[in-house]
Amino acid sequence: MAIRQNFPGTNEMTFFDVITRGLKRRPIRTGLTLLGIAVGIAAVVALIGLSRGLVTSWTAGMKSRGTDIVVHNMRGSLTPKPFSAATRDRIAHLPGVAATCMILVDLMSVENAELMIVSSREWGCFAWENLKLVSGRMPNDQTERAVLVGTTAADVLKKKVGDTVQIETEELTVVGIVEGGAFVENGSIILSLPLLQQITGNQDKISAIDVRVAAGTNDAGIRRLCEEMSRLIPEAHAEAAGEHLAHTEGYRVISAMSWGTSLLAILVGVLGVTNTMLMSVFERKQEIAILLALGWKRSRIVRMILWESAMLGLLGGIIGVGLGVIGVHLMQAAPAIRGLLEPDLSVNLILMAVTIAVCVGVLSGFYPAWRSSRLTPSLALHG
Amino acid sequence: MLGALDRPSAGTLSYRGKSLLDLADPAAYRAHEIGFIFQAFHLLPTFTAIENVQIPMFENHQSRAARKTRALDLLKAVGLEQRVNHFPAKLSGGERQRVAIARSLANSPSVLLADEPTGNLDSESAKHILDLITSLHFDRRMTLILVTHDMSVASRASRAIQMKDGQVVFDGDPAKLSRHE
Repeated sequence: MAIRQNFPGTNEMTFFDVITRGLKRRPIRTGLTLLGIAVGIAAVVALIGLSRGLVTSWTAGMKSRGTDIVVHNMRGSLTPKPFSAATRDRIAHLPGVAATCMILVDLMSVENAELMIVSSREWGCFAWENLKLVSGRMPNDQTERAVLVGTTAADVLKKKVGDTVQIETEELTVVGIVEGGAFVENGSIILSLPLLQQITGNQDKISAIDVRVAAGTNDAGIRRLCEEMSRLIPEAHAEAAGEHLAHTEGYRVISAMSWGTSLLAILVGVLGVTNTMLMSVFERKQEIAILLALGWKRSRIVRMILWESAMLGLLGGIIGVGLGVIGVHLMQAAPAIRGLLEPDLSVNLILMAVTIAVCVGVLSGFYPAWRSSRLTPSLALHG
Repeated sequence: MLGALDRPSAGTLSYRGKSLLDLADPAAYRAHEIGFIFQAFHLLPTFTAIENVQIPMFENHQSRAARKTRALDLLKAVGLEQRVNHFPAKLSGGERQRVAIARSLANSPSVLLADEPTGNLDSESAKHILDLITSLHFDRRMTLILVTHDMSVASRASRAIQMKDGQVVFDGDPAKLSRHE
């Protein structure tokens, strides 16, 4: 008792201390390995977050307009293919359909913005209702050569009410700056349907029909309506708002590329951790032999190496998530994509990224752990 | 081989009537029956004295507090109560060997195997360490098997077995060892 009182600072040691001490003995090597994993995980967070953000931000945009179903034909291509505006009449009077709104939307280079959403809407339909004027006024009618500009788009294009904006060869007047209630809406230029049809040479063509269903329609009802609409308009597909984007070829390509790049980055992380842990095992051969000589079971040695490795993964994952979030915000501010999409940095994505990192750690530790378990305790007698 | 660090290529090896070659769990035997003292101390450099002493206790399923208390008691027994939080690099050779001795006693083994325990020490430290080991041998009633090239060390044993080129050339009273040599 007297001894304990003499050494109040003496810590009780746990197996966890053994693991962390193993990592701390080569701080630079551990740090560089962590950085290797972190870069891989940051790539996962940034790329997957951005590609998922594509769906969530467009879905939010549709929800803010009050759209429940979208009739479109984006499936087979990277961009929507316009189809006949007359198709709307085939579905407008279906039971359960409260309102429809014809849309022609395109991604265009507008002045200094390399890509900007230019969204035209059927005059007077519900898709205009969610737009809140921040300044200026709404267009007087569908023939007025005027546009509304979302707040982010106005910022990117440096436009205010009264300025003109050039779309293709047409100069249109900015009559209002609007807040659309969603990231996509705020990053868009909004105008009347006939105007964009005329500018882009798509007379009587639309790229989507936004459908608002009757109040009280449940998911099953929406699915039934989608099936019915797809049957009535064979040149397009009807899907619940948001889902339509996830099923498009474009999104699949983006998603596959994101995962492909991320997996490569993760593979580099796996090799990095394996290398570090192998070096660590080789360096500590005699120490491991001493532990075996002192009575440690081989299973405990294996656990020690696997835990060290998993710890590298966990710490690398946490740092990687931080780097990824910072990276995404930097990318978001880049002129090429500013206002186009909002990353989906959900808790799920972050948990998934950290889980991947821990799996990377454990996976990378298997071979070094196996090597460590092959060492013989008699090595302790050497040196 | 008695420490189950290695296996004989021929012959038999038994401990308390049981063959060591048939041990289901050599690690448990090493942990509970054998205490090792090495010539080069073999302390783990990233752990303090008290942590080094606790290392063998992990296989004992003791509580953290019990491990710490036992380690402190052992360090006190070897006269290192003032050095418990020092890393091996900050200890003298004699102090390191004392920590190693405390570590070898961690799980109250029946047999202490000392491999040239004074081989890396100056003569004064060597004498202290030898006194310590022999007093532990008597006080704790443990079997002590000590390997040495030093006749003055061997002379303190109750029985000496001399080996030359892998053959036993003497087995008996250490007092007669020098004559035999």
